[in-house]
Amino acid sequence: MTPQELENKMKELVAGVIGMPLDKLSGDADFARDLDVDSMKAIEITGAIEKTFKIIVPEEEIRKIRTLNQATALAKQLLDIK
Amino acid sequence: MVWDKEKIKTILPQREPFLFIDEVIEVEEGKRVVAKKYLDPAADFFKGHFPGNPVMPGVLTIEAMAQASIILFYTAKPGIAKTNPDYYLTNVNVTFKSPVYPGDTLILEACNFKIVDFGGVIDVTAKVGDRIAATMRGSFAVVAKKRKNGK
Repeated sequence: MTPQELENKMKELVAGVIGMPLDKLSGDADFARDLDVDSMKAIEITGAIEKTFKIIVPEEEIRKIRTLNQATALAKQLLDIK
Repeated sequence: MVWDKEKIKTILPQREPFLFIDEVIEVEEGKRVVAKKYLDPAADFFKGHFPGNPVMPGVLTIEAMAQASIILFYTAKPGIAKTNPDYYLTNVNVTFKSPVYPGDTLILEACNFKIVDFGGVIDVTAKVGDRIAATMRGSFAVVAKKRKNGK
């Protein structure tokens, strides 16, 4: 998977979970402040990422991730995609 | 039977008449549990829902699925569950597919979508025999108790 493919898939996943059109989802929008993503929705996003990419997201990372860009960077790191 | 009602009562805070799990028949720790609930035709809710045409209220099917979710949480996070935290259902996305009647036995299969220390998202299917009654994706928060005796 290329970095671009991963970025696209991550955007699709997050948009799907939060119910937002792809073209409205900005990579640097704050999940809590701008997108109304609460901690429960963050768990669901994490689960979707894990199931799609077959990775385990460390629990301590969930509360640290604030934006789609940060989530994508973490997924790249866990999948060793550069 | 894997877990009987006495074991279940050590996990679930609910009690009769609001305990909607009779036994747990399959456990894959942290991944999946299957539980059963026999629906006694004499249960009070059948008297009013509806007179002469008793059917299981959908909200109580949701409650049964939520209780199965708590049991799954226990298998994933026993250390936290054993502190008897409060569980708050925060979101449900449920589809009812067929009615449930007095005398039916609900089979509740709860699968881990994602469980963390402070909550979880669980996929649950409720069946009667091979017939699907409802499916649900539910999320719940797990919060340490701060009060005792209702104070």
